[in-house]
Amino acid sequence: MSNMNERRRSSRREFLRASALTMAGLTAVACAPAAAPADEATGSQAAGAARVSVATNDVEAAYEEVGRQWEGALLRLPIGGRGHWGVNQKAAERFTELTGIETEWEDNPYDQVYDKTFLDLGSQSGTYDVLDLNFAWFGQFIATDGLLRLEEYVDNPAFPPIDLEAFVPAVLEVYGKWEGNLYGLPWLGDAMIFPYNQAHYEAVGLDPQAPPATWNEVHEFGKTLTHDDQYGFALMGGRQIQAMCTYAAIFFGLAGKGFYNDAGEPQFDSDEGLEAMEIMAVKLPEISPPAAISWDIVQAAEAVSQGTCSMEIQWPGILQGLIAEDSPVLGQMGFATPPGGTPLGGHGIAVSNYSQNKEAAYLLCHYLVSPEIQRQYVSEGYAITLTALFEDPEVQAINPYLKTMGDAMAIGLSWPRTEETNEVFDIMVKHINAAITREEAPDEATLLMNEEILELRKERGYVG
Amino acid sequence: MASVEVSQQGRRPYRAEQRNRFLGLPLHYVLIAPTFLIVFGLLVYPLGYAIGLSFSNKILTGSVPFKWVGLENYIDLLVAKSEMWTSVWVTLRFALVGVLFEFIIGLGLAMVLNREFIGRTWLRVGLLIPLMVPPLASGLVWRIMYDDEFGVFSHLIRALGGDPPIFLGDPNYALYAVVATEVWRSSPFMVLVLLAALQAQPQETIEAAEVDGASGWQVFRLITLPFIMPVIIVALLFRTVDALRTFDLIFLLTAGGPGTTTEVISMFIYRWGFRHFKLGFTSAASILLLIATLLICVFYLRMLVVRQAAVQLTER
Repeated sequence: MSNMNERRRSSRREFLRASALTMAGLTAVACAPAAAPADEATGSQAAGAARVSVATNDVEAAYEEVGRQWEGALLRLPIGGRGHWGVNQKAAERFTELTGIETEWEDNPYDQVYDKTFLDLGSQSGTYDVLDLNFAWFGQFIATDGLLRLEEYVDNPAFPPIDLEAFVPAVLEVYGKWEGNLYGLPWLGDAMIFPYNQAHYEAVGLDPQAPPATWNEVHEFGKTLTHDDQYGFALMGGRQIQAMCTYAAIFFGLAGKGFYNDAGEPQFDSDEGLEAMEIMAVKLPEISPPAAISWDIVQAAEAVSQGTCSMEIQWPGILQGLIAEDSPVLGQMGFATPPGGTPLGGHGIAVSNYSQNKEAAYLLCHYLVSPEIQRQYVSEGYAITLTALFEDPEVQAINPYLKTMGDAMAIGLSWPRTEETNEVFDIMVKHINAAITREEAPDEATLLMNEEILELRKERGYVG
Repeated sequence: MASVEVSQQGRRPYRAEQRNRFLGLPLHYVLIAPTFLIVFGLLVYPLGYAIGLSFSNKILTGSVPFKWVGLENYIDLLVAKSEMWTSVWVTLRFALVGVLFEFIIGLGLAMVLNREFIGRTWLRVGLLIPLMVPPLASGLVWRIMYDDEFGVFSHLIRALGGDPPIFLGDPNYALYAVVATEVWRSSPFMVLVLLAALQAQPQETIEAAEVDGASGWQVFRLITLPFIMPVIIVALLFRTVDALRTFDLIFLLTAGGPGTTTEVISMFIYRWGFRHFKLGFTSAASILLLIATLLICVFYLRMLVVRQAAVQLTER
């Protein structure tokens, strides 16, 4: 019996010891630092030395030469769907072939890109290496100290040279700089434009060369174009960010001024703000399909590319469906700047301050904004940011709305870049959608929206 | 005496001083530690942290200096003009209408499946499908089904000569469209639970009642229903609590729109937490939701206790 107890005791001890050792082992593995970068670099260099060059020209060779030292590094980027990002993802495949630096493109609903990036930077976890820098998010990312200053990388002769002056100046300023310091490179040049179906115009007796010059004309033309199953306009009226963008475009067009006055107070309770809401919530739904009150960007773009709707205000990044070879409206579309003004959209590309692979991440950013890549992928919808390419006849021939986009960027008004901008957008989306769906009267929605934004800005110290 | 010996020989007496060799702590503390750590780390600490945050003005973006604000967040949430009340009303409608229909459909189907008929097994399997489909997939599928242009419902209504509404865009229909999806998704749970209760019912009582001349309705009302009532209460408790917390389905179908028509309380919390990053305010709202859920649980459990007490009294 004593032997039996002894055996039992010893077996339990063994079990506990084994468990403790296992736990200790697991803890040690979990807590161990990642393999030393020096070791990785040595291995990579050894592998790189043995590798045959895959570059086909000097530009590629430059990236190959610099990038090989980080071969095997993995860069993660959060992106908001396909479109422009999909083209970049494709371009990055060649970057990987050249440098051996892997990239992982994490596809999210666009609204969640901000949440995820902000939480990553706020928690300093370094999950993402390269960041999509929507300039409306700039302030909050800066507040987390999560963006890497890029001046020393731009000036570093070890990297391929980059000419910052080649970018559209406003684009570089808005997408890349904060208080004079460089945090991002201009990646996606963007401003809403106004595509309209010239064949539909002709069919109802409108001049196809004369797009509407005011929002009231949009409404008038739309009424003429609306008949049977055909609608004049494709409104992005759902409870999502594009409803805010459309309202802002109308407001900018009517008022010719930004969201806030000199005292920092919102100006939506002005005559122009109220009229913009009337157009957005009453006039545009009249000439749009009934379901447009729940539409997002994809449904609106699709409705125009299928010829169901004749006009829209839209971001160029999603207009490939209008010029694709199998498009039902191929050759029918005209492109104009929106009446009066337009919001400047767009994104920079930045490096996380908490990335473990900052140099490799910078090299990828550099590669994706390079003239060679922008030119190479322009036919697939790459949103260019270089001045020279907007004026390049070859590029214009590939992309018929490119010139319009350049014109729109020249007259575009930017969103506020203060830290609470995303919250302001959320308030706007809620009330604009409520007005469109008749949950609130247009005037009521505008005044409530103005009041809530004012309260928020007071709380954050932007209004005295 | 012999039994004492067996006890002494067969079972090692408990030794209070038995200690872990590595840590020198009493063994029972060491054994319970992992569970304690998990519960503390995943439940107690986050809850305590959230309660703490709810008394602060914490905003993740960092521009507003942190300070303790006492009950200010709770007062802001509970005042009459607070947006939360809109969400509370939406949540109550969503939960009450949804759970009511789930119960009616669940009980009806359970009664049907409790009978013998050809194809019963296949029907049971078929009914489980909504439970097995991931919420993300079912949400997306229903979103397409509700689509004005390509959706099956709009197509059917047009085929019948009608004019389909904008299911997810019209404030008059959006909430009920979401409720219908939730009913489709959760009724099978009700069916399974109630069917199990029905099958546990002794057939003798029913047969005895039938011999005494009771009608089908009388058997159901006076025998079956009282028998399965405790299970009904528990099933309603589970489903109500689940419905109060629903987030994924609404996020996928309407994102709380049109306007705030489908913004249930969890969407409200999400919006203020992840759009405005107002963690103090959001924590206070979460604590209020927790308290409301607990009160509903207490209500259901009390119903259960009262019911059991009444049964015991009757038996005596």
